[in-house]
Amino acid sequence: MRMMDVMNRRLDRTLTRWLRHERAGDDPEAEKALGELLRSLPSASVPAGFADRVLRASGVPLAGSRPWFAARPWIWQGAFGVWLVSSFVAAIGAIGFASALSRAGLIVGLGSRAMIALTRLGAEIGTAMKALLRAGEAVAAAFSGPETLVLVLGCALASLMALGALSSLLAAERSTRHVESW
Amino acid sequence: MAKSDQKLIAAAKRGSEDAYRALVERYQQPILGLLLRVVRNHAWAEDLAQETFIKAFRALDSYQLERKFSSWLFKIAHNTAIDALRRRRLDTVPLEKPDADAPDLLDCLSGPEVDSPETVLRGRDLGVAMVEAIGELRPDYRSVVELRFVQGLAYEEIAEIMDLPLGTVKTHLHRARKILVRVLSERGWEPMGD
Repeated sequence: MRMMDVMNRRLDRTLTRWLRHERAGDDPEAEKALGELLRSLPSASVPAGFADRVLRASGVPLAGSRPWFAARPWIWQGAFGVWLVSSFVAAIGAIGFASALSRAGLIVGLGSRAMIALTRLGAEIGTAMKALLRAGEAVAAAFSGPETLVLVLGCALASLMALGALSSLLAAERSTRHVESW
Repeated sequence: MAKSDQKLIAAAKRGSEDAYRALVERYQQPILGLLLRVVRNHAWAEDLAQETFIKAFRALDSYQLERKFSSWLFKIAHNTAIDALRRRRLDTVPLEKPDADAPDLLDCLSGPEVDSPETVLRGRDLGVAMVEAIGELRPDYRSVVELRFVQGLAYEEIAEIMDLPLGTVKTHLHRARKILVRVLSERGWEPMGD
């Protein structure tokens, strides 16, 4: 007898048993048979990669995406320890070096050179500022005459009038387009 | 030897990815089975199963180790399914064919090697009839049927999962059985030899 044939006949027998117990009012046996019948039916198939998708969606990092050292805490602890010790030693050394420097007077020498460089920079900036001031004075002198003042004011007025005209033209253009679109 | 749920949960709380994976693989089948029984749509059941596990993992810190993990997980799954059905406001959803690579529920009931057409038809039809008859039940009846008859849980456990009195669980099961008998009988399913 083929496997599927056997399975189907078993389902039939279980169904029969269940229905007969239900009719007889035998609840415990009816439940037992119904359970057997339902468990005989194919169960839900879990799609491939389901666990991976769950882990990814829940934020749990997957094994393949983590670097090899991430799962070895002793590496992190060791690296931290080395960093701590080396930083401490470097700090002690730096303090020692600084104190050695101060004894030799090198710090003073470095400071003096820095001051000189800053002063030179300041002087150059001062020269540039002076040139700008002279240019400004020349421009102011040019504008001090009455003819020049009239010319400048006239240009400003013409500019304002032109701006007003342009604005009116644009408004008119927009309203025309709006009407045409209906 | 398989680790107990409690050991896996303790490891998961410490951030063990293997523990998380083991928990998913241990319960993916029963959770998916319950959700498929309730919502009756394979793709939807898979989404809800994923949602269930995500909720569980995010609430793992609040899980009390003395409780049974499976009951806790089934409770989350059941509530997730009921909420989803309420949101969609559908009581029954037509049974959909699973994806092409997965074995079809109906295909599993018969095959080309069967030599009796009547048996093929009857076996296949019986599976369909049972699934459709369960689909006629209310969602909470479907849940109790799945938890009791397929997962084999005790009444007390089902009562805890569904947050129902023990008596109500027994009543639900009794009524569900009667409805199934009636639906099958209406479709011509009688005991063999009758």
